[in-house]
Amino acid sequence: MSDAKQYCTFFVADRFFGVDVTRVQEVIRYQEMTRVPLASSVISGLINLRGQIVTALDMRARLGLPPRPADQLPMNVVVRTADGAVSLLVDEIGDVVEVQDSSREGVPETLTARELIAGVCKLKDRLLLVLDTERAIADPIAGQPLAG
Amino acid sequence: MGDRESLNLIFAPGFSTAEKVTSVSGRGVGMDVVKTNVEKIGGTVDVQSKAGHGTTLKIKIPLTLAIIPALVVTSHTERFAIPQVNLLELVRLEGEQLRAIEHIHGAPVYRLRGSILPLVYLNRTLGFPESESSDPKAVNIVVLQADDRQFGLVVDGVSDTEEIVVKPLGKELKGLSAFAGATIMGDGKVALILDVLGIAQRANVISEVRDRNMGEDAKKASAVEEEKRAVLLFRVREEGRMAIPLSMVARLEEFPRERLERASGRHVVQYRGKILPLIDLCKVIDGGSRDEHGPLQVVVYSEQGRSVGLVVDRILDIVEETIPAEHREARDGVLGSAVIAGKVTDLLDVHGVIRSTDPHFFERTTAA
Repeated sequence: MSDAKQYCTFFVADRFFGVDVTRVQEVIRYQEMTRVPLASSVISGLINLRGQIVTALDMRARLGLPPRPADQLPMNVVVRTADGAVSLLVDEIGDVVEVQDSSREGVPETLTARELIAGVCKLKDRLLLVLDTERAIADPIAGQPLAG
Repeated sequence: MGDRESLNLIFAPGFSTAEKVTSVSGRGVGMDVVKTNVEKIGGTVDVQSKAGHGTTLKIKIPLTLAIIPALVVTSHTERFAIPQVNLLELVRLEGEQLRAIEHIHGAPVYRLRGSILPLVYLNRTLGFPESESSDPKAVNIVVLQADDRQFGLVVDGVSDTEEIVVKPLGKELKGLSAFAGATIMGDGKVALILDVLGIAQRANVISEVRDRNMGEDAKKASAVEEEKRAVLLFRVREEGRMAIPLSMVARLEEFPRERLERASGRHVVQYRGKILPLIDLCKVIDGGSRDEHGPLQVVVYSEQGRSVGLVVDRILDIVEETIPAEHREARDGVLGSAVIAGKVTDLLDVHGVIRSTDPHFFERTTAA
């Protein structure tokens, strides 16, 4: 029995990402958000999750990608962190994918936003970018979205 | 003892069933501390247990700790909550009243019952685009106080006062000084709670407010002020000053030294057809000294037709000052000291000085 990990996957623009499924609290559709003035442009707003106030981060902005079309509503991938829940706004939700550890490789130097990627997995028909969740959430405190 | 009672024994201080006491357990202190602290904030703790099945501990803490009354305002279609503890009053200016908003060095202020209130436009502070701020029909000012600083927050609209549950902001947003937390409104939407002190600091309303407070203190001080009185200032020695109320002074005179005569062992001068006894203040007051040459400077004091001349070293000035009612350190010839015209001045005890040289001065009633 080889070691494998399950990833909750999603799309941001044309990129395919995965997050360790054990860190995902839930995946829900677009929720109405309250804007936070003066906050970094990465922070889209606050959502009411069954009485819990959760900060929503726009993954397009975080990764330095162009904003999504106005009529396209993002989905919420709510992840658990040391300081509570944070929601990642993504374009589309993918399946839960099981990947053998052996398929996982290091991050190529040429990849943009590579500091947020923990690893790359070769799947049958595409590449899965494993997101470093802590990094993705932590840097917004500095207030600067990544340059594209 | 019933089951319930015996279960509650675990909360009794010092009660322990541990066979071995370690550094963190076994002394029978833990559950007592839990119960005490929970009850201190108004909560309850309860334990239910069934041998072989499990134990349930229920801790109930009242929500009132996190509920505050707040005023809901709107700015650029977004709702914000302002804790009522910071709220002083609400002002609405319409039409003609809008001209009451003045500008001092480009900073907008409003004169609220005489005092200057710096204004902070919430739209601008939060970075919203200017709507129709150049010529609004009405202006809503929320007068706020943080620490001891007051300012007026201009908002687009004022809603109700509500009791809101305060929820902390996530780590990602903790650095924003303008917000103290967030809350879920009645319709399920999230609203941000403004941090009044943070907003004031962002908008730099500090120095102006301090000046306004100083103005207020000065006004209060003048209300307590006594009426000003005219006083005569003079010198009895090289340094230091003395004062006597001008109302006690009949005349100021200067006599050439040759006119000094002696009568009944005292110095006198002929003055206006009468004999004017002289009291040399420079000798009566401690440490006094006088220029022994040159004319005598005399302050003539009169009462009930009787006069006496108080010889001083030099007459200085007449000023209008408030004399505080309180006198301190009375000593020979001096009622006390006060600050008059910016300098420490001794107040002359006129009656005392006169009585010490002529004990009967005030008893005689016949006009001399």
